[in-house]
Amino acid sequence: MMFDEVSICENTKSYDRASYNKDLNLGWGKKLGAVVCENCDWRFIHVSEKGLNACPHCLRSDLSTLDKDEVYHLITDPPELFLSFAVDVESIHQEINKFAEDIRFAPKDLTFQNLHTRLTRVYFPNWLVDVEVNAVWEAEFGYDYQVVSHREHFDQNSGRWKTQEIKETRIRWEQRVGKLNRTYHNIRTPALEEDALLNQRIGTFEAGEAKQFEAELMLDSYVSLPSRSKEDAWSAAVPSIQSAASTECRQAGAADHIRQFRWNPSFDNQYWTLLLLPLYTTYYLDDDNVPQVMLVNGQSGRLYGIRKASMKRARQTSLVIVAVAVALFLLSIALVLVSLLLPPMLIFGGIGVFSSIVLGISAVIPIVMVWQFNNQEN
Amino acid sequence: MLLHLYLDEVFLVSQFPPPDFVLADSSIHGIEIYKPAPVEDDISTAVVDFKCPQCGAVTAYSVVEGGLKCTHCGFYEVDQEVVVGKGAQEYEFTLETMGRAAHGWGEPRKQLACTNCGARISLDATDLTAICPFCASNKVIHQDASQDIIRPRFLIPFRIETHESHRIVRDWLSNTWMVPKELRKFARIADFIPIYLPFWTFDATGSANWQAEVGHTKTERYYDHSDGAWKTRTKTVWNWESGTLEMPFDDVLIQGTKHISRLLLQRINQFNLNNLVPYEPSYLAGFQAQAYDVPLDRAWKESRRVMRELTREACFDQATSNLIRNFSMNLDFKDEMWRYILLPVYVASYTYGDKVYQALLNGESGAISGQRPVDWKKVWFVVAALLIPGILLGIIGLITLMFAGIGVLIGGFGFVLLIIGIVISVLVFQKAQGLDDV
Repeated sequence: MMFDEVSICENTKSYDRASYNKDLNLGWGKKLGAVVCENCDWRFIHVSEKGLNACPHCLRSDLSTLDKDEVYHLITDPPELFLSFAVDVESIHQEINKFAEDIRFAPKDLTFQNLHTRLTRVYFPNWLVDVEVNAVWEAEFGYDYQVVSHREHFDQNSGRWKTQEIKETRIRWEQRVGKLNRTYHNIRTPALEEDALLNQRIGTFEAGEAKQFEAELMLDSYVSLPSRSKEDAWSAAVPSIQSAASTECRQAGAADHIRQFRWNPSFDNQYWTLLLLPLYTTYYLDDDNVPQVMLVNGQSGRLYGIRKASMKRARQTSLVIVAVAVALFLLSIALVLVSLLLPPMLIFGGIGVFSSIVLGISAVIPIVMVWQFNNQEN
Repeated sequence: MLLHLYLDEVFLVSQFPPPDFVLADSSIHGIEIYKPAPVEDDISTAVVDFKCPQCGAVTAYSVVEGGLKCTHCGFYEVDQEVVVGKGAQEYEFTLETMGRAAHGWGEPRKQLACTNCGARISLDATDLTAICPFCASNKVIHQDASQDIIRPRFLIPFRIETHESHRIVRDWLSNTWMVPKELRKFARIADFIPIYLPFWTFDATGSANWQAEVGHTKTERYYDHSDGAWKTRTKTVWNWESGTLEMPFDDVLIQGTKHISRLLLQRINQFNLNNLVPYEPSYLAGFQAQAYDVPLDRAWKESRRVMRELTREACFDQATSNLIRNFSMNLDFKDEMWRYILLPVYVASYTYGDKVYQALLNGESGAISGQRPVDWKKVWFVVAALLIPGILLGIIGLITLMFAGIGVLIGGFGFVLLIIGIVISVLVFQKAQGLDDV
């Protein structure tokens, strides 16, 4: 694959365009820009003509050009695989609509239109590691077998026993030891510090549908760079490799189950690449003009976001109610005074005083509603 | 735990594979698998030849000495008896387990097939018995014993010697006057054949839940308007009751042969299963043995019948009264296990008149049961002797009543004697019938 010239987004702060374009060479097949968000420390690569105004992760605009050495430190080869955005647009619209509706005193910025127009496609990375493993292992293999049991029923009226045969599956555990000399490909391990949090919020991704990386996908999306080094990610990869080895040992022994797998592995010939996972991001601004992020799993469509009602709007509404109540109260007092001359007016004055008090008390309702809603959402 | 220790050792000394492990099949290239070496079933694979190492004559198992003894020179080969008792291994109800059970007898044996009753008896290779121990028929065929049936894994060796069995039988035959005199003579010639009989043992836990209407009677007074009087009546009040219980069953013994009377066998089947030893062909040297002809599934069905009836009785015991109706129960079995064992029995079948009689002697405890022919002449003579005094006194009483009042006394006494005579006669008759009632 030919390496193209790399350019830097126009919106980034400071960079040495000449030297950067000359040296940065990732072999992705597109002119690329690389930025780092000063707020959340996420790093992104994008095609230069697309540009990047705000961090797709935290939506702040504190973006800086990423030094080429840093990029090389994080990644030297193009990603190997990616998962395409599989959720159809209609489903996302429905999810966004559901997210934006039914919020009383919603912030002005929280509208379907805003969320929709701000939708951004982002790919975030997982490390893929290929590794050769040599190990001595031990485990207990479980083999399913069936036993026949019986259930009996007696009814005095018929005077007969009815017997029902029941088949029950049990597991026979047997000890095994062995040697393993295998190469495991594309073992997934998190490449972002926030990977676990992301998984918790938008669910996991099924990597079985991964495709070979195409630079074209960069045209309408941004790619997040790893924030975990390979050394750091390795510790998380080892349990996955052990799990893969354990599964293979079970399959090799034609066992149905495996437990107590222990080994003393040695790892050679590690080769690291990336798997890109699809993510939609969008946001709305809350009362304090702080962006509130909404994330959508690009594969399953699972949505994450905190819906916040506007306390500012609730307070304004309450103030209006209080003002009306005060005015009503004053008018009622006036009627009471008039009743000294015109006694029937006392009835209207009394009703007015009572109503103003009730109205005044109800002024707290918008604030309570918003407080309760925000509490529930949190 | 042991394996872990071993693997730690492997890691330390780089010794692989472990000495007691063998290579197993692996379907993935690059993965070697070792499994524990299968325990050699030396009994089933090695065919044992019971020849005296000293003189080459045939050896046989000695009940007294508990080992193989040469019938010719007396050479005695010590046999180390390992008693496993009730801890003897049990098996689950899987086809796989049954397949894993060793097959055959582990030694060349002859089979005696009786064309009269259909019994098949495994004989020692040198045994030339020509009489069926079950029906005393001599219509028998000798053939090689089949090796493809489940082999017994445990047995209780004989504890009663042959001559001791003769004494027990003589005592048994002579402990009643009801048998013919010739029978005692016959006992001197009738040998009790020592034979290992097949039995199945079953374990299970039954979880039962039941419900029934349980009745309680109460007495109440009521006013009868038609009679205009207060009366008493008994009323049964029915209430629904329910309960649950767990019934553990341990070593329910079911006979594996159809050729022995179940009633006779039940009378002598108080075997102490704590004396079970692992099966060794040497225990069968010089003895006969019968392979099961009641297969496992049929024996298990019979065992379940026993278990569920016991459970039903236990459920009835839980009810607060004996008056029960609309009883229903569900019973779930779990942890079902089985064992196939051989138990020592002396069997004698002999004919008296035209009838075949069976007698069994528990080869471990010496308990005996069997059919004995009844000398009905003797029995009727005794019955007559019991009844005649009463009848005679009754007649004398009637006669004397015509002359004097003492006749009432004599007649009354005769009547009492007659009643006593009848009662004793019935008991004697029942006992006599029970002697061959099998």
